[in-house]
Amino acid sequence: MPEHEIWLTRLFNDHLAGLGSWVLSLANANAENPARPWANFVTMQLLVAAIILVLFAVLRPRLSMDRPGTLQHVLEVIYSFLHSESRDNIGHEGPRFLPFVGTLFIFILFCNLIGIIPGFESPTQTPSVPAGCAILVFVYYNFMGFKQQGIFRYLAHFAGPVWWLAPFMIPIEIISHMARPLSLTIRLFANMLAGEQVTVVFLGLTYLVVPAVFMGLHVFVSFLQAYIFVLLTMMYLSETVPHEQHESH
Amino acid sequence: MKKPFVVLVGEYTSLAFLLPAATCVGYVIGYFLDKKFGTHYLYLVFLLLGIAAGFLQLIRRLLRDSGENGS
Repeated sequence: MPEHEIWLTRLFNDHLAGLGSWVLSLANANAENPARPWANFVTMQLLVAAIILVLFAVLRPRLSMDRPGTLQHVLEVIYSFLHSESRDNIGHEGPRFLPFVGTLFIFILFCNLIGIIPGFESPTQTPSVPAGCAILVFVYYNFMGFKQQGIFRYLAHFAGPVWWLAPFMIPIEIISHMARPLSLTIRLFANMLAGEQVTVVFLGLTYLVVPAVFMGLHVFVSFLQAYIFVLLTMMYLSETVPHEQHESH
Repeated sequence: MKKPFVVLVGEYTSLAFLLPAATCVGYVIGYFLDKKFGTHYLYLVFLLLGIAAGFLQLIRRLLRDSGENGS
């Protein structure tokens, strides 16, 4: 089913179709319609990335200790919240992972919230976007596990505490690790899609008050899902920190 | 320190997908192994392992959370 093109995607497809096909050909992929290779979720992600870049580029020279602006206050609240959460969940090593976790949080939050603006659509309601983030998390926390504990020590976790349980524990651990990106993906995608669809359905019924209530709910869910995504990322990362460091916090 | 209500909502809703996701991954692994080796029982074995994996993760989270509260 060809999806409805939002105005930004139409703009990209009208003027940058060649670039889109070239990028897809780099990955040996073909667009469903080669004349219009850009999909809504791709252009929306580019827009979100551009918004974040501009936001921080504007904020950077205005940072002030004496007279912090509203934007600085808001971002400081987000930063201190993530900082304390990372300490709670990972331990005193937690803030080391903050650049990754913080970027993920801001990106997912903006992706979720942008769908509320009429004429735009949340990229996170397309499964590929949460799946991309979830696979990134999966690769990152495993990489950090290998890096911090060494290959053999990290792999030894999969065998469980007792050696004779290892034949059961290894497949169980492999399954539970593989379930992580799946549950991260489905949770974020399903919540965002459901939030959007509920608003759309009620907009079809009435324009009075009710859709606004559901849009408010959508804002709440956007924050909650972005938080859950990074909370779980932090929990997975906490397992990769060597135990003596983790327990000493 | 008591966690804010919203944080608790976030943490507990995250548990909701734990069981079905692990069960589903177990089944899918078994299904593909069955296809690969031409057998008809591996999907059941991995389905059970998936269920066990889900429970194990759930129990670990509970142990961890109850440990945090000092109880």
